[in-house]
Formats: sequence, structure tokens, C-alpha cells
Amino acid sequence: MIRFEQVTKSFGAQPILNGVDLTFPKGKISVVIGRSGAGKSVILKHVMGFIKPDNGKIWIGGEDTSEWDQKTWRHNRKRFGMLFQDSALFDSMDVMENVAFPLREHTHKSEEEIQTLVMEKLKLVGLVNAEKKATTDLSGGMRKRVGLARAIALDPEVVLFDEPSSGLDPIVTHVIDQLILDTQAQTGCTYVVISHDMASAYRIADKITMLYEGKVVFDDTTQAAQNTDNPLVRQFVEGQLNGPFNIYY
Amino acid sequence: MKRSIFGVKAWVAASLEGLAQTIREQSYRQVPESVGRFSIHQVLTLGRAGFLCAAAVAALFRPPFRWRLFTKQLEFIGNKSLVVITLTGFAVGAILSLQLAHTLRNFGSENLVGGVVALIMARELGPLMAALMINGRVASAIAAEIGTMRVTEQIDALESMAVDPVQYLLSPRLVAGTLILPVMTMIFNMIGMIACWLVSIVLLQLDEGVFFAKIDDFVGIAEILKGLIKSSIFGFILAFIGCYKGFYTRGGAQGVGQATTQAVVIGSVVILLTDYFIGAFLL
Repeated sequence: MIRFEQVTKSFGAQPILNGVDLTFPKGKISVVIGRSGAGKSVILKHVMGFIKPDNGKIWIGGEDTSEWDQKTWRHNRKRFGMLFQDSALFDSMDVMENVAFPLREHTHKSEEEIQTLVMEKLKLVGLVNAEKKATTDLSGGMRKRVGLARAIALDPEVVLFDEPSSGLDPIVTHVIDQLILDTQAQTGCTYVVISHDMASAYRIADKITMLYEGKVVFDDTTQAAQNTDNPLVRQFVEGQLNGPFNIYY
Repeated sequence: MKRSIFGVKAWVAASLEGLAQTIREQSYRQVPESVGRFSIHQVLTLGRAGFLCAAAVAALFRPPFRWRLFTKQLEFIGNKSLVVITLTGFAVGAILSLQLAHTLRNFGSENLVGGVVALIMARELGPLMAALMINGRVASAIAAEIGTMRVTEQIDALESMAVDPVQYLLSPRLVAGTLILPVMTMIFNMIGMIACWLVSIVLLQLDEGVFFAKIDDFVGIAEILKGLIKSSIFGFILAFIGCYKGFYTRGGAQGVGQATTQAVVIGSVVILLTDYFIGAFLL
């Protein structure tokens, strides 16, 4: 379980997170929604330890991360997998090498074992016969699949997704959503998804959290999100221009 | 009517005077502010570069040791620079020999050409020209590759997979640059001397025995070693500047372009300045 406790973060004079209390339950899919600049990606960067909170604490698996030094962070990151917004595949490597990368770096498995594991992961994300392809030859959806295969290569406890549906058409988005559901069901990992695609969030989420101006304004089940009369959530879900949101053009 | 014209004139004069006064006051304030800001920025940049350099060197001594990445960089910096080194080495050797032969003929000393060219190449031109040529090709490529990895989140991906990006990306390049530049300098010198031989012996019909005797007289092992030490330092500098500019790239394609250009320009200037100081120290 991951827990944010009164976390604040500013970049210069710009406050990004303003006393965030948040929990990502173990073995569930939690989706964080909010407008661009609401601080969603900053949440993920805190979980990965790329940035540290100005105030407040982040608990991962019952441990206070403020006591972790750089070495402990690096060690603990092996417990995480992350799918980046543009997949962040290594373009100097082919599909096989990308997925094999964490296995080669952190395990002492033989090359045969690594190849078998890579093929398993690629099969899990529905990519067969693509292992020799260059990453530059892949479509957006395929890149996401390879990114997901790489993220789950080490069988992590937690997988983080930064806008997995960005840049994808609705059908491919649906395919990726199904993939998220299937892999989560098979691995039992904790999934944290950052998104502003409400259709996608409703499909995959066990729990939805909404951020607005650095604060959590909604944190409940998917069903509760669908039925809430919270004006911020309603305006965001329905994409209305009129409402409590401060809209800057 | 007359009064109103005078009024406008007075208003314009007052406005201009006010504007001039403002510019004077702003300039007085702005100059020290700008100097201060520039100085702080330079100190911070140097500090950041120093920390990055220290981290990359320290990472060399702790596992994992990625030999494959190291050999890949050796191949990239060394093997793929062979053509440019061969061509420039030949051109420099030939031009230098031709010019020296014509000048020394005025003093009846054209037979010194071989020795003088060998000395200049071993001590100065070999390390410097090889470093500048490789800097143009390699520092830009390193900055572009690492810069692109930065802006496309590939460096974040390395971090997310518990891999130290400094150790993974910088350390192999620094070692490869430091070790391969002396080899490239030796090749540059060798090709340069072949060109010198062709110009002096084949073209200008100078005495071959004297040619080799003078090389032997003028160039000792110490001269060659000094040149190789220099080139090793230049190799470290050009690899580090390429890595540094790439690692701290900001923005998209424009940022990568800027990092690439800056890596080549800064690398060349730093190599030339370092050459002077090392030269002063080693002479």
C-alpha cells in the first residue's frame, strides 16, 4: 500500500501539491484524474522518488520514504514498474532488448532464461513475433505494450502508468485498458494510473482520485465517482465550460 | 497656437530627458545585477559540472562493470573516427612539410623537415588536431544521443528501473574517450609522417637518410609521451563536455540542437585553452 500524508510540493513560487492525503490500496487499480497541471504526474514522481516532498510523508509498504537515502531508493525501485507517457523505450535497442533490459541489469539469469521470460511478457501484452522489431517501427499502441512488458518484466509489486491512453485512438485505448485489467488480474500488482480520459478511468479503476489545484477533491470508488454530485467532478467528467473550475485559455 | 507648439516642444524635451534619466538609472542598476547574475550562473554551472564529473568517475569503481558498453564506446569514438583522422592527419603532414621545406630552403636547411614535422606532430599538432577532429564528431553525437534520451524520458526510465544513469551513460564514455584518444593521436601522427615522407622524399627529392636521422635526433620517447598524456586529457574533456551538455538538456528538439552545438563549441575552446596550460607545464 502507498500512502501520502499531508504532502506539499512547490516548484519555485508555484505550489503543485497542497496537503495531499491519499492512499493507493494494495492489489487494486487506482486512477488519479485531474486537469493538466493539477499535479498528477508529480504524484508519480514522488512515488518513484524522483522528487521529494517539501512537507509531509509518503509511506510505501509501511515504510517512511523520508528516511530512505539514494541507495535505498534505487534498491526499492526494483519493486516498481513504470509505463511512461510516450513509453520511453530505448531507441538504440530492439523490442527484445528493451524488455530484457531490467532482467539483464538486476538478475543473474542465463540468456536462455531471459529470452523465455521476455517472450512470456510479450505474449502477456499480446505482442508475438515482434521481438526483433526496432522500436522506431512500432505504432503508438505497440510502443505502450512493449513499455508495459518492460514495466512488468521484474514482476514488480507496483506498476505506475503515466497517461497510458495519451496519443491513442479510442479503440487502441480500449485495447490498452483491457490489457491493464488482464495483466493486473494475472499479476495481482498494485496499479496506479494517471489519466484524464474519463471513459478509460471508468473502465479500469477500482478507485478514482481527483486532484484540483494541488488538493484531493474526490477520492472514492468508481461507482461513487459516477454518481457523485461534486460539482468539480461533474464538470470534469462532462467537460463543461461553466462550473467551479478556474479555466485559463 | 504659438504657445501650444512651445508646450509640445517642452513636453517632448521633458519626456526625452525623463527617458534618458530612466535609462541612466536602469543602466547603473542593471550592470552590476547582470554581472552578478552571470557570475552566479557560471559558478553554479561549474559546481554542477564538477559534481557530475565526480559522480561519473566514482561510479567507475563500483559494480556493475558494463564492459559491453565500454567496448561499444571505444568502437564508436575510435573506430568510427578512423577515416576523419586518416584524412586530416595526411593533410596536416603534407601541408606542414611543404610549407616548412619551402621556408627552410631559404636557410639551406630543408633536410630538417622530417625532424621538425615529427617534433611538431608529436608534441603539439597530433594531440590537438586529433582531439579537435574527434570533438567535432563525437562530442556532438554524445550530446545529441544523451540529450534525446533526456527529452524523451529515457533517462527517467533508466532511473525507474533502478539503474544509475550517470554510471550507465557517462562512465563508459569517459573511460573510452580517455583511453582511445592517445591511440587515435598515434595513428594521426603516423599518417602525418607518411605524408611528410611522400612530400619530402618522393616529391621534393630530399635525402632520405638525413630525413630519418633528423627524426631520430629531434623526437625522443619523452616527446611522444607528453603528446599522449595531452591527448588522453583531451579525450576525457571532449567526452565529458558532450555528456554534460546532453545530460542537462532541457526542452525538445531545439534543446537537443543547442546542446549539440554547445558541446562542440565549448569542447573546442576548452581543449585549446587546456592545450596552452598543459604545454606551459610540460615544456
